[in-house]
Amino acid sequence: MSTLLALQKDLQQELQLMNEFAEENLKSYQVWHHRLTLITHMEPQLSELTKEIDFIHDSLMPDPKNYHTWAYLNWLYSTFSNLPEERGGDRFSSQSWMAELAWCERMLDSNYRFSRSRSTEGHEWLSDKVELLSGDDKVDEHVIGRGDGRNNSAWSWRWYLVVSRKGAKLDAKTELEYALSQIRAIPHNASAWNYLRGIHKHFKLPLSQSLPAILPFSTTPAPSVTSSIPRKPPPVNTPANPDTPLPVPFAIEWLADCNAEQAAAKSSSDAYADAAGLYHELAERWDVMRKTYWRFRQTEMLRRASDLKRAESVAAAAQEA
Amino acid sequence: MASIWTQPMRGWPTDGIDTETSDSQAETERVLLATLTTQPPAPPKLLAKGLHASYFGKYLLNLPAPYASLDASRPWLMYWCLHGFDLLGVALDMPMRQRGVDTILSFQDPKGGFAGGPAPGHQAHLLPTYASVMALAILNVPEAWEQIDRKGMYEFFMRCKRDDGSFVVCEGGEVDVRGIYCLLVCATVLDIMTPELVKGTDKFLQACQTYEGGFASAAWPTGSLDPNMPTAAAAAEAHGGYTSCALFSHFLLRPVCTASSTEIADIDTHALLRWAVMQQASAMEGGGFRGRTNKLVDGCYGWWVGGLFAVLEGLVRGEDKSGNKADGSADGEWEDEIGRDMLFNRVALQEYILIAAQSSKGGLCDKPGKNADLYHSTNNLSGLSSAQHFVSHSAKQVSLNRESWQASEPPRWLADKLEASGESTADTERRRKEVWANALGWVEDADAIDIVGGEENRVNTTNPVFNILILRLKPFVNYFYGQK
Repeated sequence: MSTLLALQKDLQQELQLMNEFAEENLKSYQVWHHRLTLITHMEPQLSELTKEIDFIHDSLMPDPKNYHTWAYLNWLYSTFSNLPEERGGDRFSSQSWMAELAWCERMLDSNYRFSRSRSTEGHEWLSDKVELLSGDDKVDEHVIGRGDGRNNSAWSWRWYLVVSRKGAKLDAKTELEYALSQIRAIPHNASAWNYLRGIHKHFKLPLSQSLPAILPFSTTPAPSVTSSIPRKPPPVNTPANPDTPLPVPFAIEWLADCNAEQAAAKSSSDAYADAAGLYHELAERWDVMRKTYWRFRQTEMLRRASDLKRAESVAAAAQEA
Repeated sequence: MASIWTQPMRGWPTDGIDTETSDSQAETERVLLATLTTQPPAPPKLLAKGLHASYFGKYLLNLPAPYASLDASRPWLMYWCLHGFDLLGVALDMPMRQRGVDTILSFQDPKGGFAGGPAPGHQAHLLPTYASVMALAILNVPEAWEQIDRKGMYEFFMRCKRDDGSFVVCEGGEVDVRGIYCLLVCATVLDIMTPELVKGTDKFLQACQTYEGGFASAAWPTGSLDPNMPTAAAAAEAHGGYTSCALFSHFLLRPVCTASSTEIADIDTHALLRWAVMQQASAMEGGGFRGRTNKLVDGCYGWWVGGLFAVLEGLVRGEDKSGNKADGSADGEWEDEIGRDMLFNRVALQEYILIAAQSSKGGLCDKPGKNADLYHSTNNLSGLSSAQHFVSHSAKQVSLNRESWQASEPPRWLADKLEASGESTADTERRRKEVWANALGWVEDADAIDIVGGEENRVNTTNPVFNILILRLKPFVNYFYGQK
């Protein structure tokens, strides 16, 4: 690298060479790092960055969870949106961010198909343009990638775009609704549940706020789940998908965590006991693989419940005295 | 503890929506189910120790052509073989150990640190530095330990250091938590841990934790001026390998903070625990671990994720108790409820490794149908070890260590440096004692051993965090700290 820089070699040309390398060595640390060093020295303008971003987007088509590629995309946005004034400041416009978020949403849209489109001038397939196909299968050979609501890399990218980047203007309600709509589409999607949980925690929103939307997924075939939180029967058309086996363990966990949250807020030993009962069900029935973890959570609830009861009886005794 | 054979063999529901993730998941379940159906639940499969030992033996002396691409990772190839032998209980004779020592020492960069191969042509890099130092510990030739250029290594570390507390893996290289982990292990065992070296590193690690609870490879500045917002954000999604490096790094920094009574930048241990248990795959996938949400199970995560729990149990249970019960002494309340179960399914992980990750030709692999390699072989065996043996970081042991500390001095050049920085000799000694006492604070509860398939399948006990045998760590660390 230092040789290249000393030679003042055409870095753009080197980047082009790297395009070819990258296609064959997508999983290498060095290839992406070399690219990163090159582009740092190029002091790129937005138009050049846009090309680079298109290249990254394209690289993700055949390998949509490539860790190095996503980390490089993150680095690119983080770096060039944070340049000091003497290096030209923030390179990105609010349109850039909106376009990136729109692309990320397509990556997470399980019905979306990415395709190459024909250039207006020639017969080349443009590599930097992807657009929605109208039909499903008729031009299948041009499909270069599929959206995937289970792509956790893309979920993490969404988090960066709407939560953790500088200048992110988050609308928590939109994010909750987005995650819930993904859960409704694919109720067993761990990525969507983790995202929903993350938004609640980050913005300190009570879990109970999303409970009405989640309850339908906690329905059990036998009336085995007990909870002090009133549970309305699920609306007839949810969960949207008739192929979904119920309950979804994530929904039982959510309900249990809601009970724990309310127990802490109201100092209610009964609510702790309800939470403990739900963790017990997860351990014994719905998620046996994680039995010891759920038992650990259950024990924690029982301990808090008994601590409360003990404190209550001490207080009662003190009052009598 | 629930064996995979007692659990429903159900595929992960697709909810009627097929995507690339669910397609590859279904394919993996198909492959694993085909393997599982060739196995009777009892007796459990044997660990083919002889085959695996020959595999390591063959590769230690002579690598086939595909390994040419790993020419810059030669210390790793040696570490994997040597630790693999250790886990399987294979001893090397003295000429072989000496040969190993000579090879590793040839990787030492004249300016400090170890490179992926001999100089010239290779430059010092944090990752091979870890592998070289651990290989020297395993080879157990004390005369060779003196050959480690600690001053040069320290200077190399400082050249890698960045203002945000992170480190590049080599000069001009990338930043990520693998490098931080490798550096902190070396600084801990070689008695070159200083406040200057690790300033800001805890905060960098903190910023790598994602909303899911696991850790990403790195964190970049957000440039945020809002005091309520973090100044750096995770660079990607939570990942098993990086999470292992980040949690262990955090753990290694704790005694440095304790010694100077400063608060360590905290991590969310409960979120991390939830993320970690959620990576354990279903019975139909054999009960191994995946490395990221919605990715596929892979034997190498038996160590990266399975190996987290020895540290996590201590952190989670320790902080739930006012009286430090992290040592698991028998008077803990939770003891009665949970016994010595681990917070993950230790039986299922062993079943995955035995059934799905053993290659019939020797060596271990990602999953059935994949070829064995040294990385997967050793990671699977390390994962197996952490599932068989109950090892915990004992507050009691740490305090016994402190009591047995004998006054000693750091290397002269370092003592001078610390004195020049204004640190009192008492403060220096307090930190060194604390770092040493914690490094050797791991104890195994022999009664809590649980070996699927019985005694024949036992592998030796790997030390959490460092990933060499407990019995290898002690003499090595004592040598550098001047302790008995």
